[in-house]
Amino acid sequence: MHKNINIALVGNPNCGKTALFNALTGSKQRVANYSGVTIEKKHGYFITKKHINCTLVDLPGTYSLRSHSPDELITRDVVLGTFGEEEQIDLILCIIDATNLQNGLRLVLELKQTGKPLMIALNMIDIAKRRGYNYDLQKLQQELNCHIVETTAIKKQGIAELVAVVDDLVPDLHASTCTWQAPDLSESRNYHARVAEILEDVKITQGTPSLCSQRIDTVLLHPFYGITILLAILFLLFQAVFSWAEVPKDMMQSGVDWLQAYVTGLFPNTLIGGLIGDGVIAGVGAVVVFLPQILIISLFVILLEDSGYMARAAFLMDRIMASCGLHGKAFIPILSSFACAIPGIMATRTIENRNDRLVTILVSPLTTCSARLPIYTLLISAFIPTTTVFGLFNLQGIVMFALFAIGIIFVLLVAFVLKFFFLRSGKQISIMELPSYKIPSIANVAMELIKPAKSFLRRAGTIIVAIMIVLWFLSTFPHAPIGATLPAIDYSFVGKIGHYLEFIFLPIGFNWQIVAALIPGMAAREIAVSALGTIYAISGNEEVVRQNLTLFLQHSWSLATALSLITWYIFAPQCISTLAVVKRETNSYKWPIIMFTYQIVLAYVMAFIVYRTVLLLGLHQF
Amino acid sequence: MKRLSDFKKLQSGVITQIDESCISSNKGFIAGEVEARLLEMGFIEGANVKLLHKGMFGGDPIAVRINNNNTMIALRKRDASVILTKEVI
Repeated sequence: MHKNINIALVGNPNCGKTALFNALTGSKQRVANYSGVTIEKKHGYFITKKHINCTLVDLPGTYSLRSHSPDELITRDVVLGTFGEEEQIDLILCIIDATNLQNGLRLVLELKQTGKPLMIALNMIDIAKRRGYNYDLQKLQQELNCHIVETTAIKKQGIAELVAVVDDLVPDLHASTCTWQAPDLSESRNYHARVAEILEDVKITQGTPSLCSQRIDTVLLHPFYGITILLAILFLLFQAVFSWAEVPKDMMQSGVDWLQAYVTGLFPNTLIGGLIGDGVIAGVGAVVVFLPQILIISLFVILLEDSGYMARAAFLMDRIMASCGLHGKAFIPILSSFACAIPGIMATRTIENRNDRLVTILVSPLTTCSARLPIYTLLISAFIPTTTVFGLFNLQGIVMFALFAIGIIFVLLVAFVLKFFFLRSGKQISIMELPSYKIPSIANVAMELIKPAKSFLRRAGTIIVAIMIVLWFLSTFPHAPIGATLPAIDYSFVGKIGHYLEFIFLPIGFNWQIVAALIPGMAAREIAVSALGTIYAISGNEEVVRQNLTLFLQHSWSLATALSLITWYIFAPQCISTLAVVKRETNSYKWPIIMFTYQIVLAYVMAFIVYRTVLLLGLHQF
Repeated sequence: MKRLSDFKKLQSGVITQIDESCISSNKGFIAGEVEARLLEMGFIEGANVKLLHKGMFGGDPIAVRINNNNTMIALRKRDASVILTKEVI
């Protein structure tokens, strides 16, 4: 028998849904977008013993089908089958936390109203048993009239049994009429009352919450130690990104350099050698070497998320977030934005209020994402001396930290301005779960870590390759006329565009080379460094390789220009992918345009202030 | 009768009523929304609540355990003020 069925995976947040999804489908996953809206559609596939092809649809976590966020709306529409062209769901797999039956069963009762066939994964059963949460499983199955499988998804226990139940159910999957309606307050209370009856009948003994978690929380949620530890963790994160990542990064850099030399050597003095070696390999290589940093920052975020600490961080930061009108939950998207604004913006979906979500989206590109590091690193090492300050700190390190701090300050400042002048929202209830601590599973962390790495490399392999080729052409053609006195790039398209736009940027101290590098840098920030390399390498008489760019810039730029460019990079919308994601997430051109405009105005004004201040102080002589 | 928002650390009580009226008079709240959200998260009449942690600034937000569940719920004091309790006997 060959058959295809669609299974919807539904559950409360924090009940191990992602772990179950990964355990069931392994690497057979695909991420796409729901048509028309912007929510990520996560599908996975598995085949049962009886050769039934199952498509598992991972739906955003929810407490009720009554929806108040875009995420929850998707869950409702897919489950009810009212979502446009999406395929109908044949079976609902509801996952509930065995240590918190109350909220899980409430959702189950709502799901039963939809009339769709339903089965339950009673997850985290190991913890429940250890903590003394006991009940009569047979009785519970009878009460709910559906199959229940005990699982510990994170250890892949109960998965085979779960698949076997799917096999048993498939020959007889019929949906009855849907009687679900959004529950009003009294119906919501009725659901609770019904859950209470069920729990009475199955003779539940309420266990004791994890003592270990409670002990950890007395420290981690302590008003003083808690904040201190949070800051220490953030510091460790930056330390990891900026010093531990250097070793693999340097290794990759030498690999790229070797490959570039090798390829260029294969086609000496030809256009094709220049295109592949100097254009593609050097350009893409300059970006790919940031993979270790992206992996480290993603690893931190995943570990904090899976261990249960992320919710604590949001708890500790809630008041600070609230002071500028943001939701405590906004902390997570903003923290993710340190890796890249794109996952950060996608993480805002958990914020229920539309205006709150828009504010978080609009400010997240101001955090110092990892793509800014190449240009920061280059300019800092070229213009900031390695003086030791207070006998302990390196001045370069302090400047880097300051750049991060400025980013955060402006995130809060801009959020405040947006929130109180433009995107006022009614008062919002701010409520979330603090799950007990868990030790993250290595397999699960690895699976989640592969995703950002893959999308980063895909971007490097597609958009960045394309841009490097275009840039190489623009900077190579047209050739300089015979007997030309100026460097060849002056005659190329890049040179022309740079010269043409230079007057706009002169007040903030940018020369035409910078302007020319900013153009490809619009596509992705990290390209600007290799673009500068390309521009100067071509414009110089002798071969100026990228390692010498630092030295070269020291002589050709003033300190004022360098600081002005750094400032520009803190604020400027130098990333088309981010704007594209904002368009997708908000489903309109309005918000990306607003974001682009405010960022470019802010960048110009701030760069102007910095440039003029440095000139006034006379620091440019240094 | 005591509001959950007025609890001291480690104080517990039983929910007697969830009464939105004391904050929904403030503009901007959709009627019934706060109550509905609290209900969905497990704040229901008769449930036992215990305040476990308070935030650094002004003791806000607070972390509460309902019915000895394994997970805690974090919420802001303003929202917790609609939850009325009586002392456990």
